[in-house]
Parts: sequence; C-alpha cells; structure tokens
Amino acid sequence: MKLLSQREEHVMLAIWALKEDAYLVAIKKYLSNILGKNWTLAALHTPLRHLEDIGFLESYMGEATAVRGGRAKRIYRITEKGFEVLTDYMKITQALWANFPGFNAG
Amino acid sequence: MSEKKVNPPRLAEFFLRQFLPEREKQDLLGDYEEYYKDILNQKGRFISSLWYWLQIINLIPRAMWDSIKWSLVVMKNYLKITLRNIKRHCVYTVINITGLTLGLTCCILIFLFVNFELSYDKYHANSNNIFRVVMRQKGNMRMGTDCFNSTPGGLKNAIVEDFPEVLKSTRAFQRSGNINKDGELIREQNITYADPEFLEMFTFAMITGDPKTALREPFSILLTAEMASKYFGFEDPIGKMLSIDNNEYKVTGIMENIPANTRYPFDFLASFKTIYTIYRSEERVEAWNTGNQRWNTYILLSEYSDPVVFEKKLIPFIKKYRGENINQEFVLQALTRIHLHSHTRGEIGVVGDMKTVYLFSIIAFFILLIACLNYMNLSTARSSKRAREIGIRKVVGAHRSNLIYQLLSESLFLVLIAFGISIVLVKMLLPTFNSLIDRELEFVQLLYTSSLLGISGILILTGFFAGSYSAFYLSSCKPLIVIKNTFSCRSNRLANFRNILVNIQFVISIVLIICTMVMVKQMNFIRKKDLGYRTDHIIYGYGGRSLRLNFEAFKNELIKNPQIQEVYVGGNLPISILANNNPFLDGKDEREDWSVYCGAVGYDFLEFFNIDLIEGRSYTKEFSGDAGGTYLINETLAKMAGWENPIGKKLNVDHEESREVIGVFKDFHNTSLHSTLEPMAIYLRSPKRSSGYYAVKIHSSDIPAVLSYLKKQYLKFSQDYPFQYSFLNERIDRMYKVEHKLGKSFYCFSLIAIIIASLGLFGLVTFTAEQKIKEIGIRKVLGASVLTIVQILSKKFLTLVLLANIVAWPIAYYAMNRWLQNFVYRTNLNLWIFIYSGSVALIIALFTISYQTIRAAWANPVDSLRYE
Repeated sequence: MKLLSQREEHVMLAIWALKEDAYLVAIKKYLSNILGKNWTLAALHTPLRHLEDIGFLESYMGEATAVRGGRAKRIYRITEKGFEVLTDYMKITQALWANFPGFNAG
Repeated sequence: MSEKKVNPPRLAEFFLRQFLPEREKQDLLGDYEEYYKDILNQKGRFISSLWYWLQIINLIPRAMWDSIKWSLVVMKNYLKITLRNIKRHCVYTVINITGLTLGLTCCILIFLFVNFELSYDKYHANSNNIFRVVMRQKGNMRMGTDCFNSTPGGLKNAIVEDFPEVLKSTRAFQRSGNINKDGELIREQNITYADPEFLEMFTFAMITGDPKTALREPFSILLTAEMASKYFGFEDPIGKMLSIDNNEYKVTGIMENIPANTRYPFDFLASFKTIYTIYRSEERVEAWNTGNQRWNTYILLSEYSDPVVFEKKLIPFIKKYRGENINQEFVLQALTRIHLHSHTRGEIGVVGDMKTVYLFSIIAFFILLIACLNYMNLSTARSSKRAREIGIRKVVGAHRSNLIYQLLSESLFLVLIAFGISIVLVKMLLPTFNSLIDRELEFVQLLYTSSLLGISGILILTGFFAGSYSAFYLSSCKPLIVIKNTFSCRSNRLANFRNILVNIQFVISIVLIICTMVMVKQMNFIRKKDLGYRTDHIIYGYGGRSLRLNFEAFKNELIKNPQIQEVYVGGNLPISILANNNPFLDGKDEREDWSVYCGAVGYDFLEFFNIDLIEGRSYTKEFSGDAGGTYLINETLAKMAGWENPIGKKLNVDHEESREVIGVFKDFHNTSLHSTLEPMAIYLRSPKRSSGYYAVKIHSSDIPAVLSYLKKQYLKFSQDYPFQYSFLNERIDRMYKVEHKLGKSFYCFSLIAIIIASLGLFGLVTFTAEQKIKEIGIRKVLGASVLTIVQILSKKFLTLVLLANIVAWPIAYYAMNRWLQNFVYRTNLNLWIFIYSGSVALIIALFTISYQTIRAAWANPVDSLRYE
C-alpha cells in the first residue's frame, strides 16, 4: 500500500471536495483557505501530474473562458484507485489519531 | 475592470512558457493567467506583474529536474546504440580507438612537458617582481649573444642605495666543491653562495633553522633535506660542521628539496661572506672592476615600478660606477622568463628554450589532428550503414539538433575510452619520455588544476572535432532516400573529401619523416666533422693543487704504462679555452672591437692534440724561456689583425703587457659547431700555476686497466681533489645533446604519426574492399587476374600517397632550412632525402593495404555473387 506525501494527500482531498470545480487555481485557493499557507501553482502542479501518472487521478478538459485568455481548464477527478488509497489513508489517520483528545471518528 | 492591459506581461509569459511541460502547457498558462487576474483585481497591476515574474523562478527547479531526467533516459538509449555499433563493427572501432589513444598519449605527454616548462620559477611569492641583472658588452657577440650573466660584486649594494624602487637585492654564485665525508672526497656541483636577502626574496621552505639569520655569518651553510640525509644520516645536522675544500662550514638550517621546476637548483646554500675568505679579499669581491664580476645579481623591484622604465635608469647608473667610456650596460631579465628565454653566456645547468615548447606543441596538435581525421574518415565512409537508423529517428521525430547531439556524444564516448587507455600508457611511458626530453616530469602533475582544465579542454575539442563532420553530414540526409535504401547522396563529394583527409594525414607523416632524416643527417655530419684537433682515444681529468705541484712526476709515472701513448699536463684542453676579451694590438691604447679567446696551455699542446703549426714554433721543452711572455695565435687572429707576417708582432689580450707572437697554428673549434672559428691566442704557463687539466692518449685495447692505473697514480700525487675522468669525444658529443634529443623525439613522433595514418588507411581499404565485393566478383568471373584486381584496388590509395609527397616536400624543405640556420656548418638538403622518405611512406602504405587487397582479390567469386 502506497503512502502519499502530505502534499499529495491535501491535493487529493481538495479535489474530492471541489468536485467539478477541481482545477489548479481552485485547488490552490481552497488549500490556502484551509491551511493558511500559500502553495504556489508550480508546487501544486507537480504532485497533480505525478498522481495522474500513477493513476490515482484522471483529468479532462473543461470549458475555455475569456479570463484564461481563451484556454481550457484541466479538471481533475479521483479514480477508483485513488479513492481506495484515500480510504486506506483515512483508516490510517483514524487509527493514528484515535487517542488524541478532540478527535471524533467519522 | 479595465479592458486594456489586462493580460499578463508578454515577456514573462514567454519565459514561463519555456519552463512548462509540453503536455499541459496551455491549460497551465490559463491557470496562471486566471490567478494573475485575481491578484490584479485585488492588489493592482504592479503586484500581479511581480507575482507573475516570480512564478518563473518557482518553475526552475522542476524544469531542471525534468530535463536532467530525460537527458539520462536519452543518454541511455544513445549509449545502447553506440555499444551496439561498436560490437557490430569491431575492427573499425578498434582502429579508431587505437589512433585516438596514440594521439592522446602524445598530446598528454607533451602537455605535461609544456606545462612544466612554462611553470619554471613561478612558485616564488615575488616571482613577478624579481629580475636578474645581466651585463651586455656591446660588440662582443658570441654564440648569438652579447650578454653575460655575471655582474660585479659592488652592484648589489649600490643598486639598492641608488634606487628606492629596488626593494632588495642579492647575489648568488654557484660553484662546485669537494666535501670531506669521513676522509673520502665527494665532489658536489650545486653549492650556491648567496646573501641573506636571498632567502627573503625567494620562497624556499625551511624545515629547521631561521631564514633571517641563517646566512648572516660567513661559513654558514644550509642543506637540502636530501643532502642532510646523505651527509648526516638521521642525526640532526644543525650546529654541526661540514668540511668543503678544507674549510669548515657550520650548518644553520635545513631546507626542503628544491622543486624540479627551478632554473638554478642547489643542494647547498652558503653565506656569501664566505667568498671573502675563499677569494682572500673582501675588497676584491665587493669591487666594481672587471676582474671580479662572477656573481649573479637579482633584484626585487617594487610592483609599482615598470621594469622597462627602470632599465633605462641603469644607463647612467653603470657610467657612474664604471666610467663614462664603458661599452657595457646592465639589462634586466624577468625571473620567470629566464628558463625559456635567457641565452646569456655562462649559463649552467639545464637550458630550456621557448622554441622547443612551440615546436612540441605544434607536433602534438598535428598528431592529434591525424587521429581525428582518422575518425572522420572511417565514420563517414561507413555512413551508409548508419543511414537507416538516422532516417528512422528522423521519421519518429528527432530534430537535427538531437541527431547531432547523439553523434557527437558517440564520438566523445570513444574519446573517453581512448583517454582511459592513454592514461595508462602515459604512466608507463613517462620515464622513457623523461629521459628523451631530459626533464623530471611526474605523473601527479596531471592532477594540478591547470592540467585538469587543459586536458578536459583537449578531450572535448577532440571529441567534437572528430565527430563533427559525421554528425553534420549524417544528420542532414533525407529520410525518404534513406529508407528506400538508395542512400548514396553526395557520395562523390564525400569520396573526394575522404581522399583529402588521407592526403593530409600522409602529408604530416611525410613531413615528420623528412625532418627526422635531416636531423639525423646533420647530427652525423657534426659528429664526423673535423674539429681541427684529435678527439678519439683521449681521456682527460682535472687535478687540484697538490697534483699541479707534482705534474712532472705524475707525467713520468704515466708514460711508463705501455697502454698510454702520450701524456699532456698542465694546461687547458682545446674545449676549455673559453675566456675571451677584446685585445690591444701592437701597443695601441684602444682595444679592438672584436674579441679573442685566450687560454694557458702546457708543453706540447699542439703536438698532443695534432694541431698543425703553420708558422714559427710551438711550446716545446727545448725553448724553456717561453713561459709567461709569448703567444701562439691562430690563423683567424692573424687575419683579423691584418698581419701578413704575424711572427714577431705584439698584442695583449688579458695581461699586464704586450707579448710577442712566436707561432701561428691552424684554426680549431674550441666550442661546438654552432659557432664559427674565432680568433684565439694561447700562451705557455708553468704546470704549477696552470689550470689543472691533464690528458692521456691511449691505445684502445684495455680501457678498464688503463683507468685503474690512472687512478692509482693520481691518488699517489693528489690529496685534495677526487679522481674524475672523461672521454674527450663523449664530452664533445654532449655539446650536441639538445639536437640529439630533438632528433630522437622527432623519430618517435614520425613513427607515431605514420602508424596512425596507416591505421586510417587500413580501415579505409577494408571498407573499400567490402564495398566492392560484388564488383570484384564480376571482374573475376569475366577473367581478371588477381594482380589486376589488386592494381585496381590499390591504385587510388597509392596515388594519394604520391600526391602527399608533392605537398610535403616543399613544407619540409622550408622548415628544415630554417632549422639548419642554427648551425654554422650544415649538411646539404639533398634530393635523395626526400625521395627516400617518400618511398618509406609509400612502402608502408603498400604494406598496409596489401593484406586487404590481396584477400579481396583472392576471394571466390561464387561466395561474393551468391547473395542477390
């Protein structure tokens, strides 16, 4: 079972949360809202690509907007493999954090 | 939201685009633009543009990593292809690598030599500001120079006092001496006497002892580590006494061994004040008059002072101390240039020459060139085999630059393999090379920064140059032609180019062969040329004071031995008459502006050395009144003085009064044949006050027996000087050591050059034979004999070699003419030398191609025509 790095984990969870809106800029904004720390676009793009190469994510081209200079968005989606990994991860996290005060399972 | 200027900065976008991965470039650019506009709305134009520019920096690490990763993948593929090619075409690869190895070995060895030569004396901290003062005597040109490196003793202090820009000065004087080790006399050649400032100006590492005080007292001496262990073993020598020439010196310090790249190394460094005692007068040593200038003087010039300007100030300086009429002047030599550029008279030790450095560098370049041309030739010849691979690569999407990159890395790879082998060869050959060039190069010198840089440069240039033509040629072929298997584009032009390459290789080889032959011829000519006196079967030696007092008795004892024909004692030998000065003729007050060699000889000098007496009489025992009052002169002197009847004329070369000429002898060469015959005057001196040389003429039968007899007799009479002997003809040969070594070096180089060229030729012939298999088969079927086929195959190559001769002969002629200018007595550049060299090249070429051509011609046409 493959362990994800922290950045990859955050990115995948962000994609899960954003559903159809999961493209690079949205992910960045979402994460900086939650984490309070600003990842750069370049820093996020690398794990995205890596995850896609491994097969945990897949991408499809979305609409083109004028704001983007007429270029299409690349929207990411979690695959089944990716979903399995996330589930495993959740279980590990639960098991690790179980005894920590204030952690509620579920 | 404003409509205008809403896009991100164009230039930044351009850069950003370079660093983004191909696949997602567009959507990523979109992402960046969207975010940019976000910031633009929130924080304004400046911040957003700044952010955009900064993103470029964020992308750099990833981009670099990606590029390295892919480069490795690509390299892996190229490597695989290269290895496959090597395995498939073993013979050609071996030929290429052999040629490159030989070329690189030569190059590296010569590089070490050049690096070493250029580094002489540069290790001193002040090396850029140290100058030696030499004295030029105008009009006294001998052996190509009118400069002496000996200067008066008074110069040292005067120059520091008179000129504030001279920070320090020191004298140095090198001398040999006999060291008494437990009763045995050992002769040491490298004893230098120097002022205390010597250790301050030059940078020598001291192991023990204080450099500030070590040379202050007279009879203090420092030893190098090697000498310390030689004379004192494991004991601490400090404070102990060392006996040199019956004087006791106190050891005040030990120095590390002098680095090899020193022009004037020494084993012992003694204080200069000692000289006062040795020469028996402090005044004489410190004086300004001519008789006592034997010292080298070095000065440390302030770094703000220009040596050219300073040299001009020395003109009035010398007049101040030596008088207005003096025709001498002081000249400055930079310390770092002495080794390669100084040719003053009185130079001792190993003399280097910038010309040799240039020459060897050029030769290294040409030999490496031949090896590279080999590679070019062979790889382009086989290009048709490679073409299919190149075509497919192009179809699959390789750019021309990718292909060039691939082919260049292939040649670089081969060069590296060749380099690995050549390093091993260099290590093995270094001792032989050292003896060839008379230096002590060390393998570790390769690890110096300058060496590493230089050699990397050589490797890269070689790899690129060798692979360049093939890379550019192959990468430009059209894929369609290639895949259709009709690749023969521009084959005619290609064939011509290859022919030119082979031509160049053989031109270089033939030039080297001709040069070697001419050098050998000149050396033989010089060795056989009559010097004007007898040189064979003569052993000579030198004796100290005690021997001189007993010279007559010594001579009588020696004559008793039947092996010894004649004995000569008590004077100079022909090769030791080297002092010269401008003479006064006929009682005139002014010296002539030409100079005369002058030396003291013993009785029967002319008879012993078989020098013809033309007029008058020589110094024989019958006329005992001659000592000290007469001269024998040679023909050239009589001619220069304009004397029809020289007997009875008077002249004075270097004595208190004029002397009368009693005889004229035939000219002989007291120096090497580099110089012409010069005027000479010799005079008799009693053996007791002579220079201490003796010589014996022997029968050749039992040399060891004669030597042991000689030694026995010598030791009977001499207590203060070790027994040393030399053979006169060997000593004379050594005058031409430089040329001899040069000839040997050229021999080696021409050998290497022609081996490489032949290798290339062999490869080319093999290839041609392969190409023409079918043609040969058909010809044989139609009735051609083996001979005809051999002719057809060889004709092209032999014509090439003959053509190479035509280009090579003028080049070699010009070069050798220039070289022979160094000698006053030259051999002729006969035509047969050129013809002989050309034939040698031709025969070697024939031999090289014979194997392949004969094998091809013998082949069974059935085999070659079967596959269709």
